[in-house]
Amino acid sequence: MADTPLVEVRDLDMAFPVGRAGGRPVMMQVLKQLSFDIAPGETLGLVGESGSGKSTIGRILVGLLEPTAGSVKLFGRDITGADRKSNLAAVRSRLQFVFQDPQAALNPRMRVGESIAEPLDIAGGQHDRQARIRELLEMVGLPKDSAERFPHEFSGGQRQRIVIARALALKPDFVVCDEPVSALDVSMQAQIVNLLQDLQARLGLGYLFIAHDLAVVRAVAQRVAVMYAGSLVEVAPRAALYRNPQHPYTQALLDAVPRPDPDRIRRPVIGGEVPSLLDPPPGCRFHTRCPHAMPRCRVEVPLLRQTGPGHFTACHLTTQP
Amino acid sequence: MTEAMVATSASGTLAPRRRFMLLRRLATHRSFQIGFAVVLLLALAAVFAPLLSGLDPSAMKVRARFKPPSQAYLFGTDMFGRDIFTRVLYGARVSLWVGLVVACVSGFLGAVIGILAAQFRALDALVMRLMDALMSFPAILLALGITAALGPRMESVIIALSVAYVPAGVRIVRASALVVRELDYVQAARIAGASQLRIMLRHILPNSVGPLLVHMSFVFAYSILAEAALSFLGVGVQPPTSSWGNIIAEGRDYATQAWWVMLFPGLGISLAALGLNLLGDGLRDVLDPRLKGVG
Amino acid sequence: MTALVSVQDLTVQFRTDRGWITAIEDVSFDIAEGDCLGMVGESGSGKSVTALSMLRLHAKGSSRIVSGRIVHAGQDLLQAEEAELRRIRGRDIAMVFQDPMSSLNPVLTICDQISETLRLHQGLSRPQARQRAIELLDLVRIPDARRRVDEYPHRLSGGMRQRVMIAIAIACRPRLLIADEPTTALDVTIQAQVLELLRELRAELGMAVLLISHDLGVIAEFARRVIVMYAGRIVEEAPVGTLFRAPRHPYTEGLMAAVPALDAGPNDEPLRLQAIPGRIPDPSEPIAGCRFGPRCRHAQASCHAAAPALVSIADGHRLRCTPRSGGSA
Repeated sequence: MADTPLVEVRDLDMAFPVGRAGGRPVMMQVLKQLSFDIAPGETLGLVGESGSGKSTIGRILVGLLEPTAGSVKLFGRDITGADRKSNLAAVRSRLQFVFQDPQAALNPRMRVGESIAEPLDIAGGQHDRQARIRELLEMVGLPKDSAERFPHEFSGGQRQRIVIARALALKPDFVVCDEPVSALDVSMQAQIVNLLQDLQARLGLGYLFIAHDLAVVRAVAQRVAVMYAGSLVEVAPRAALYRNPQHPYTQALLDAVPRPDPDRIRRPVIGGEVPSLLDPPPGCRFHTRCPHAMPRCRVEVPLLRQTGPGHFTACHLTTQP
Repeated sequence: MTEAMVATSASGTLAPRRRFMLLRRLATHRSFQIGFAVVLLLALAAVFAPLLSGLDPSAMKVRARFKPPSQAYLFGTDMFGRDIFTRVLYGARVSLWVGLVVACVSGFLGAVIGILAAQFRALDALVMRLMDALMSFPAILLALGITAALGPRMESVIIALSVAYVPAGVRIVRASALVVRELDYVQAARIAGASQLRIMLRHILPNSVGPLLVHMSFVFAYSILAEAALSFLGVGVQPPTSSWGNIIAEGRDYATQAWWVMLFPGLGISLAALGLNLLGDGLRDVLDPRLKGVG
Repeated sequence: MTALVSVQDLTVQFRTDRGWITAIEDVSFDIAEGDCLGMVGESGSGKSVTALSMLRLHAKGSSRIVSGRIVHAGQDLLQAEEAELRRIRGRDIAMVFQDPMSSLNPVLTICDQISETLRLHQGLSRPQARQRAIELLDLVRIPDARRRVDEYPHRLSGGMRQRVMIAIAIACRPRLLIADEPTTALDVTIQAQVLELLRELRAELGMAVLLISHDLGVIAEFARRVIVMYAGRIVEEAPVGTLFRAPRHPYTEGLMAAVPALDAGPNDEPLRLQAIPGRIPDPSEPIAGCRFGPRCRHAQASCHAAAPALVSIADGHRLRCTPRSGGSA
């Protein structure tokens, strides 16, 4: 079934209880009606600022969180429905996660070799453990004697390599990378980004690459999805998104990123802040900051509609006749 | 394989290993050094009691009653002519043993209950209310009640004090475990499909026990004091077995006549408590900042 | 022309288990009135240490200033009395830190925190300070200042808190504002707002700004002059245009090549990121010669033998690289 998408998300909703008022729990809608696919071997970049919900999606996709509504299918199996547990168990070995903070992602009391091999140990079965550890260390470019050492003996970039090695232990087909380079220095970021790309080419991995840094996403992704306050506002192939962003938020985001070019003419800065998810504005959640807001935007939530080849935008501007 | 070679050189080398960093830090910590030395001294004195004093702690010599400290009787004698030095040495055995066992048992139970409570919501509410109930009794009163119920013996004291000190241990471990639970490496294990048991044993437990170890050294000290108090009150270790507490109790009626009977066991208690506190301070200084996962 | 602040040969050490290690060494630079200086470097470069040392805010027990002078208004701040330093902090030289979440006292209102510096340095009364605090909140573009001034920090977002920090810092119209990674913890759009605010304030108040960041983009869009730091030393200093168009130090070049480009090239091929091999040296690692040497593509034997000196290679352009500054060993 080569055509089965790696990941199929439909109408995903996620709400967290954040307190009580008048006897009923107050819910914060973190994700609203999300739908997207990821094809095998593809990297989908997921971009957004704080409050966009991008990290939450990552956790839902690996089964750490259960969504309040909607469905998530991994390798064709639904991990959100009635057979949630058994489906998740069946596909577990094919998916993995790379964390943002390499310091928190490794057990400080476990040797590196133990941490890397843990997925193997849990899955059981026959493996030549030592050989596999050595193979993984080599794949991520760490010195051979790393296995006996503890995480604190490594630098941030090296620890991230250990995290990646652990993620590859069971030969997954899909890896969620949640801000994998944000906590690293610039020179380290480049190394890790290159490593992730090499591994993808070598092993045919699919990635969901979650980041707030548009420039890093551009270097790794084939398609990019932009999120704002819990909804997808634009999804497009990489070239189209960066050359021809259609959603006002995407445009504002691209304008706001500082470039290492002192001669660049600065674009006007967008005002306002991400709205509180507890009391979101009606209609399009971006309308409070949007320079092109129309009366319609205040009442009607725009849906994601096709606006070009592979290009989808959720904005009333683009659907004007 | 060129990719791998380039990648290997790209990651950089590792610094040469410095093993046993924690132990080294401990060994050079001033408070720890002093505390450890004191406790070790007392422990050795207790273990080698028969060698250090050839006398029988219960041997009564009516003619040698109320002798002040001298060359023959280092700490003097009591109202039955028993050598206080010997009695204090043998009493150290009781006090230190009680302290050690109580610290270990309450620590172990605290760890087990604390981690389970942090892991299972349903259990948590029940356990914490139970611990709150236990903690609302002053430890001594609780111990008093239990020893009275079980009959006055060293074993009762141990059981009573262990029960009294478990809630504090549970709180400490639970607090750490709740934090560790949310850390990324635990999430990574969950993603890989680790069972609850594996997560608790391999990930949460090793990273939550730091503060507990520090606490246990203080529990050791409190237990020595508590045991002394209980024996002093007559509900702990019974004579003729000597414990620091009951030596003081026996000497109470003769405080003005034979002050040495109360002094020396009292010094023993103070010294042990001081040593353990210093040891605990040292442990805490060394373990505390490292608990965040930094080496 | 005397500089506003002149840092000369500053060397600072930290205490660790392994003894005292050097965090920054022989750091020298000048900041003129109204200057706009950017300091860029990665972790371990020593940029934050430099900033803290300028106001002697380093931790007394675990770090020490081994040598150097920091000359301001004719006196060496490193030798000054604590009382004198207190007068200068906040009034002549102010600082804004990275993490807005922890930089504000959670149990005091915004008004209290801004007023503190006003009443300390300008002797204002409570009502006067409150009025000035509202004016300052307006100046940093916080909407609804009259109401906000009485709120507690937890009611404000990260971007707002950073603006409050800036308001506190500029309250007494300092001549120099040191901003240590002021936007790193903020969202991109908020970052752009805060940087624009800093630019406007600099123009309005005529103050000098030392902006520290690891983000080359932020530095490029804000600074007029740039200092690049690596492993505790200044490796290059140049006007911003020169630095980004024609960097001379291999580390600076490497850094530029490692930053992913946001704007598409003509063929829209994403350029493969050029990583700098190896890793940043641990401060305790002794390295003979140039500290960037082990990672440098162009390193020569002389580079590993003797540490290069910081020399001036053009007007306003200083470089610490023996082969490229015309030196031969």
